[in-house]
Amino acid sequence: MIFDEKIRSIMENGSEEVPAGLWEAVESRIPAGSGKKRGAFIWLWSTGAALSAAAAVVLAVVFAGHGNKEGQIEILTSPSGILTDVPGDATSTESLSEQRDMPSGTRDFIPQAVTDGIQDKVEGKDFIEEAESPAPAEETASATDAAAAESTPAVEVSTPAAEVNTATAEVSTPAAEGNVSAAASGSIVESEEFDESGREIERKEMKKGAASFEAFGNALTNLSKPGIEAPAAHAPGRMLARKAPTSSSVEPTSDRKYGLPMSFGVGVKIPLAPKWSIGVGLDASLLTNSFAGNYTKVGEDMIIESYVFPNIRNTQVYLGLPVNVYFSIINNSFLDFYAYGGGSVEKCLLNKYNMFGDPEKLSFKDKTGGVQGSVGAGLGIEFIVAKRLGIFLDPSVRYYINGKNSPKSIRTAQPLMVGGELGLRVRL
Amino acid sequence: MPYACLITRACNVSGAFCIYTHAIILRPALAETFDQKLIDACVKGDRKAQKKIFDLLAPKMFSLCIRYVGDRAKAEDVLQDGFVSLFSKIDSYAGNGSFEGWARRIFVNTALMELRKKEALKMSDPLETARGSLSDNPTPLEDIGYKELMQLITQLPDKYRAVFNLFVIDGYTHKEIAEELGITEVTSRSQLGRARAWLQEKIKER
Repeated sequence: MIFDEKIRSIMENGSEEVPAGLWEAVESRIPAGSGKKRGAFIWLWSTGAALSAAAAVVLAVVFAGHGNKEGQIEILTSPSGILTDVPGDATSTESLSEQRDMPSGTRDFIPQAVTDGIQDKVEGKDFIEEAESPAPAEETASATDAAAAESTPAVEVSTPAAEVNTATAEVSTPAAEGNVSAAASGSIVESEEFDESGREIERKEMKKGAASFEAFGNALTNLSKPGIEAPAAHAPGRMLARKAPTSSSVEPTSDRKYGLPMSFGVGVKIPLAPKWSIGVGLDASLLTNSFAGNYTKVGEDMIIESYVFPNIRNTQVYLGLPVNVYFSIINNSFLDFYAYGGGSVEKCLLNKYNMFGDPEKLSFKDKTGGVQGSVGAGLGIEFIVAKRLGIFLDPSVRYYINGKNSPKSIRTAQPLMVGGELGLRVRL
Repeated sequence: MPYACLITRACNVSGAFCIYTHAIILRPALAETFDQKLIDACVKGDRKAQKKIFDLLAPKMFSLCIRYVGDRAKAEDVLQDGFVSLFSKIDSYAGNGSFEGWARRIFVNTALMELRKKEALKMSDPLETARGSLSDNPTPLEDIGYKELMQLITQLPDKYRAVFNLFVIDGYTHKEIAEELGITEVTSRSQLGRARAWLQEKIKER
C-alpha cells in the first residue's frame, strides 16, 4: 500500500540523538576481550595459504638436494651379485661366474684355518677377499658420518676401502671400534691383516680422504666389468681373513644419498594459560637413503653368500611421541604467531634394505635399534581460516640424539636439522 | 563497492590469488558500513571496534526503540539492553544478510521483551477512530516529517503500535507477528487496520 510504503520510507532510516553516557553504560556491561575467533578475510587466508605452500615448496627444494641420486657410482654396474664364496682351493683361478655354479658342497666359505680362530660370535663385515692388495687401501669416509661405532655392520657409512682390503669384521672389538670411530672422525684408520693361519701380519696406518674413494671406485670398476674375469677373490696372495659373520648384513661401498625426511602425524594442543599451551601427538616418520654396497647373507646352514649391488635403498620407519610447549606472541582474529620448543622420543619400527641388481633383487630387514630422541625449537604461525580451522606452518631447528644402536640415517649423519611442519589445526 | 575493488587489487598483486577472488565474489555482500574486519574485531572483544559499531548503529536503533516502547526514557534502557545483547551474540552472525538487518532484529526482540514485562501486549486498549477503517483516498504524507510521524506513532496504544511497527516498518508477516505477540493472524490484521486508520485520521487532523 502506498500509505505503508510512505510511512516506511520516512521511519525506516530514522535516527535519534543518542543520550550522552549511554556507551559508557553499555561498555560497563560487556566483558572486554571476550568473543571467539572468526574466520579471516578470504584474501588474508589466501595470502597465508599461499605463503605456507610456498614455504613448504622451498623446504622441499632445499632438502631435495640431498635426495637420492643414482648413477654416481657407475663402477658398480656389475652383473647381479658377485658371489664371493671361497672355494676350498684358495689358489683357484676360476672366474667368479664359474664359481657360482660350483656344487654347493664346495661352498665352504671360510678356510678352516680361519674358522678355527673364531672364538667370539661377532658379526662380520665383508668376506670379499682380495688376492692382490693394491697400494695401501686408503680409507674413505663420509665427512657427515659423525656416529660412534655401531654394532650393526650394515649401516656404516665410511671406510668402503677398509671393507675390501682389511679384516675389520671384529666390529665390536676395541680395535674395530677404533677403526670405525677413527674413520668417523676423519683422521687415521687402522687395518689388520692376517695370514692363512690367522696370525696378524702387519698393521697398517691408512689415511682417508676424498681421493682415496675414487681410487677404490676405479678398482672395483675393473673387477666388475662384464666379460672380465675377476681373479681377485681367489688368486694367490694374502688372504684377508675375517671372523665369520653370524648374521646377515649390508655394508655401503659408496656415500649414502639421503632422501628428504618426511613425517606425518596427529596431535592435540591444549591451552594451559592465556598465552601458554602444550601439544602432544603421534608422528610417523619415513627416512630413506641409497647407496652402492655389499650384502652378506648368512643362511641357516651357515652358508655365507656375498653380493655386490649397485643400488641399495634403505627405508626406515619411525613412530614418535612429540611434546611441545607453545607461547603465543601475537594472537588476533586471523592469525596466531608463537614460539615453541620441545622434544620427541621415537622408535624405529622398520629398517629395511631393498637391493636392486640385474636380475637379482633382494630385500633384507635389519635390526631397528633402540629409541631415538630429539629436541627442537622454532617459531610458528597459524592462519585462522574459519571458526575452528587454521593452517599452520612451524619451521624449526631440531637436534637428534642418537643411540649406539640407531640405524644409520640422515639423523645420524646430520643430527642438527632444519625443517618445518605444515598442517591443519582444528579447534575442538 | 569495496569488495569489488579488493578483488581487483588481489588479482593484480599476484596470479596466485586469483583463485580466491572467485570465492570472495560468491560470498554474500556485507553491509557497506560494517566490514568483516570490524565485526571480527568485535567478536574478539576489541573495544574500539565495539565503540565503532555502537556509533554506527545507536542513532537508528534508538529511533527503533522509541517507536516500540513509546517513551524516550524507557527507550534508553532498551537501547542499552539491546547493545549488550548484540555484543554477546555477535559471534553468531554468519554473514547471511546485512549486519544492520541482523542487529535490527535483536533490538526489536529486546523492545518486545520490554513490552512483555509491562504486559502491555496483553492489554486490549481501545483504539477509537472516527471512521474505523482505512480511507480509500490516500492520506497526504508529503508534508509530514519524521519527528511528527514519530510523535503520532508513539501515541498509539502499545499493542497496536507493536503490530504497526512490525508489519509496516520492520517487514514482519502477520504470521510472524502472531507468533511474537501471542495473537492470531486475524487479530494481527485487525489491529493493523485500526492502527492505520487512526494514524491517517491523526495526520489529516493536524
